[in-house]
Amino acid sequence: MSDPTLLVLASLAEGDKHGYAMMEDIERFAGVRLGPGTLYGAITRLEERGWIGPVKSRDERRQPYRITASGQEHLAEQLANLNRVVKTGLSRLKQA
Amino acid sequence: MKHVLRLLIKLYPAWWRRRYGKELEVLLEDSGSGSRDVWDVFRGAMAMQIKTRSFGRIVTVCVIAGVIVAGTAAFLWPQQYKSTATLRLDQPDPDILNRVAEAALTRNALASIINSYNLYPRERGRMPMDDVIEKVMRRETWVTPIPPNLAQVTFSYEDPIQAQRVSQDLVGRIITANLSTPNGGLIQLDAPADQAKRTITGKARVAMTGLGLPAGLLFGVILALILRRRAPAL
Repeated sequence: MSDPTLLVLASLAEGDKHGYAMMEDIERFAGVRLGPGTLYGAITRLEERGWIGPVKSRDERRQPYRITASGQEHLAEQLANLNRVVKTGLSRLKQA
Repeated sequence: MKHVLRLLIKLYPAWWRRRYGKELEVLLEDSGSGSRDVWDVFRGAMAMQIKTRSFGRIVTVCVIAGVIVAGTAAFLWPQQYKSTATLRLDQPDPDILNRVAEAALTRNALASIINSYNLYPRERGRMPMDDVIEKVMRRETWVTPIPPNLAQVTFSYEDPIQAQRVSQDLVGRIITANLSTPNGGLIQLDAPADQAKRTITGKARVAMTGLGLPAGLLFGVILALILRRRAPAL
């Protein structure tokens, strides 16, 4: 799983985060370091599609984001697809 | 490097910078971004410009990118030094010169030079000696006839002193090989290996950087035309 938008959604599924917190979280759970340009490209696309949105914060410099209901729906759908692929792949590997 | 990254943020479209510019700047500070993120941020800026599909901006970004890439390549390109010795040929026959040079600069002779002067330590670490000789050293060694009766032996290397020493060694081997050929004694030293000269001058590096401008312009125009033809308006 290396699609930056999916990684950002998976990170925000845990709770609101700003850019650097997402970057660190994604590196921890996926072992992938998203570059700053890649991360903000994903954030831009996700916000345009209404899957994430900015939330108010006391920290004026760091803008946290929150996953929206439609973002959660999209993430669940994508993860279910991935899950199907993983299960199929693993069972075929066992048979081989 | 931080200045370069801040400069790269300016390559994003204005609407994007107004919305996310400050956030990206803070992220670059927080994450301790360095040279590894230059390409990532530049690619992000390009992607946003292409998304906006502005002909002028795409061309401008490509021109800037072309100059940055060419400039980086030009100034990171390792310096090389050339040292040249001159031979005098009593019989100006290029065939004799070629035969003698072949006899002198054999694989064994070049391997011995590489070992004696400890040349190409990096290359020897990653490729066999035969490849170092054939793919690296022979490409940096020239024996060139200069009509009517001279020949130049040139060796190019990253260290000027080594370049001069090796050039002198090569000449010595050619003269020695010449003595043991049937027409021996026809080649003599005319001028010893000179002090090695830089092959890439500051002017050459600036010229290389300048080449990035037309290359970026051409690439940008082609890219913008392709995007304009293929993509529907936003």
